[in-house]
Amino acid sequence: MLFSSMVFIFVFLPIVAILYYISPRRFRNLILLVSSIIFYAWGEPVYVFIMLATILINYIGAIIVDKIKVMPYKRLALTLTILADLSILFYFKYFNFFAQNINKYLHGNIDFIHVIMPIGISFYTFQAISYVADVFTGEVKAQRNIEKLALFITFFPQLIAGPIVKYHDICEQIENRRETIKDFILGLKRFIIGLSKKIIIANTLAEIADAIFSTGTNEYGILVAWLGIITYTLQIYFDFSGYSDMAIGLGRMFGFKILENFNFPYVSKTITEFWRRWHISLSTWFKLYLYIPLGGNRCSLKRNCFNILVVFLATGFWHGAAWVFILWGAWYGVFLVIEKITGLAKKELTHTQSILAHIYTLSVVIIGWVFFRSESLSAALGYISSMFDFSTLVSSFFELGEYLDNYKILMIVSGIIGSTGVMKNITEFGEVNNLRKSVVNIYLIALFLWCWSCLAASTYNPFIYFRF
Amino acid sequence: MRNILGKIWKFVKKVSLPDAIFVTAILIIITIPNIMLNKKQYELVEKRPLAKMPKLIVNGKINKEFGKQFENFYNDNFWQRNTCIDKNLAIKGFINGRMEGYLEIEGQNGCLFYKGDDSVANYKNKVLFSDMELLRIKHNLDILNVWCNKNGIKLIVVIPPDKNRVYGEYFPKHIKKVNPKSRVELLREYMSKNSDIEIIYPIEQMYARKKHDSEPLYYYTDTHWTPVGAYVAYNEIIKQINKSYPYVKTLDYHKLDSTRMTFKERFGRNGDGADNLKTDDYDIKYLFYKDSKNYNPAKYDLKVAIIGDSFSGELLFWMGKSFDVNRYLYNEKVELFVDFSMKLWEDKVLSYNPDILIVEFVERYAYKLLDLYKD
Repeated sequence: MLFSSMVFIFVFLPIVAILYYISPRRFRNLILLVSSIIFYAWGEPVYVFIMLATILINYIGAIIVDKIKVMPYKRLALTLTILADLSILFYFKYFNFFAQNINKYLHGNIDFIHVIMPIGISFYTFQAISYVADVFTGEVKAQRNIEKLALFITFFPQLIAGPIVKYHDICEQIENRRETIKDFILGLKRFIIGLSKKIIIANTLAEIADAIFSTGTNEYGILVAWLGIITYTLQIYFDFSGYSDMAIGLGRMFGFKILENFNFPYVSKTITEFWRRWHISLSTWFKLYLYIPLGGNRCSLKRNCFNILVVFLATGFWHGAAWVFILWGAWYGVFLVIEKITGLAKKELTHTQSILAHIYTLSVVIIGWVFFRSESLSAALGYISSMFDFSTLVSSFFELGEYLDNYKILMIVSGIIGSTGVMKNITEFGEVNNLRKSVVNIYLIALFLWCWSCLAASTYNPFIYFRF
Repeated sequence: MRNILGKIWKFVKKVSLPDAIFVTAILIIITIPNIMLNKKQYELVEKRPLAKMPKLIVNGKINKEFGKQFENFYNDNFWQRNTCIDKNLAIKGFINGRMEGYLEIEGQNGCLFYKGDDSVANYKNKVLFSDMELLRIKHNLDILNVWCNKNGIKLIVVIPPDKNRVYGEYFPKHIKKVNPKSRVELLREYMSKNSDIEIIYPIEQMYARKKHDSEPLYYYTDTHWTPVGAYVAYNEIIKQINKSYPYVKTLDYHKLDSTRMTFKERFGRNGDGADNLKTDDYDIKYLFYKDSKNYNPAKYDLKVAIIGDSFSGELLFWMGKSFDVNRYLYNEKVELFVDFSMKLWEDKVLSYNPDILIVEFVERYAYKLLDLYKD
């Protein structure tokens, strides 16, 4: 089930909220757990068993890790648990990729497996690893109550698209949290903001980006190519951060405080800063559970650069089992290493330098998204070449009209303004006095109504063969 | 009850008035779609049956598809669905200064065009037939022609032009052609050089007709041709029939009785485009023909089979005045157009034993000629 679906907003969420709040406190975790399992099983019921297997593996694994006091054995238990988690992830997400490449480059003869990747597997696997790793470091005690551990892994607001919640950030809230009406309302407002980002802006911009990326690169000119990648740049931010907003808002409605996942990444002046603001929960996860164990920055510069490259290759690979994702990760790794060597990330910049740095960062990010969005390396390179084919400048100007109308232009402008942080903390703006609050609330109600209308319109499904 | 109300009041007291109103408003909005569910089984505008409430247990087992099926059911049946869709289109149309839906686009002067099935790309001459494809179509038509000859049937291939081709001046201005010739023009040229099979693509005749007659050849709010537009193609078909049957005369439509009606008066709806965009008819009155007591020429002793799409409907009217006609909609046979194959129709056509076979594909579906005979 998706947050941005009619059935979630108008059926599932109200039922869960009512059941949650009318139930005695001792049943509330159970209600959230059962709801989360139903939420997950909604589209693909079979895959719920894979998630339950992950819970069981980590439940047992963490207890063993906690009990063993002798370090080598403790480490072995941790390694085996993580390997079990990663094996499941490998089987469903990466097996066919490796088989394809081994067959292609090493002349192997491995049969492909016919599996659909379970939704959210990358997210909940990483959450599970964070739990067992936290138990290993002694940061938290192993959870003896499987219901509570299961809730941590399956909690529906962050189950399928994050943020990747680390166990040590939330274990206390699972045990003991206080829901307040103020939190509920703030959560509801945050959910509406996230929903609007996804439905109103991201989905509209996706229409443009999808239309352009599905066209052959030789069929459009430079301006259309830039329009395609700029709209995709905005789309992916509003889609993902909108989803995170919804997750944080939903969590808050049920008394959980989930950490922020985005902090206006497109205002960054360096790539280092960008990764501090983009998908923060993933960056933090990699920092805590891969970068630091590799030695982090408490080592030689050479080793530090190696660590950065490893982390970003892994980051790219985490996003998808394809060479374009690995390349996308490597692309960032290289720029981060350059920034590390030159010290750019720590430099004080003048106003002019700041502008140039901002242009540099956005250029790297935008070109990076070309790799991320393209089906193949050759498609990505073809797309990039159209972005710099100045011979098509005039002709492509007239092609823009095919992809744009007033509404889409309005969404692009809203997207640009919204991604700069100008409208930051709209709910905080409304907290000053009742007049401001009323204005913000009316705005949010209007947004919600428009989201509903857009969702309803998306259910319009004419039978296209009716012309016969 | 008093206890519950007391609890609610205690709860409300903790929040400010704007927030209390906010939460109430959101609760009302969330309730609206659930007030009652649609009882319709068929959506006329979308021309499809609506999803039904699924069962959780099917044949004693849990229905694994229940979630997806329930979602389809809910999406089809929540209360005020059509109002929401209408408002969404209307607001976007207001912002854009023109209407545009999933399948329709509004051009100049409110003229509506179909944009599904790659109609826009086709208009732009973006996708052309390759040499191999042209050869394949010729090959397919040759096979069909041989089959027709073997069974004593005359073959006629008709490609009605898309509305945007004939009324390009009304098509949205920002959509530009990227190649000078369309794939159908290329096909016609190729066939005229390499084959005896002549394809009827009456674009020039349509232009000529437009020049001296203001009668619309296509409906303003629908993608199809009017009886007048279909008559232009009918004329060309008769010319081809004359090559084998010189005695056949073209029906003189002037002698038929005619009446002027809006699309809605004639068909009870506003047209595919207007129905999809939820706009009203434009009060344009079109000419519709009917039999006349004074002019009712006898039918020729020839049987005509037409395999075609919805454009063959108006052709059927004209052809039916002069011949015994059987019409087959090719999507009746297969669910997906890509699976269309002449082989599926041969027995049906032979059982009718026609003298003439008309195969018709509207311009945007001309690529289906590639699949006429599959390997």
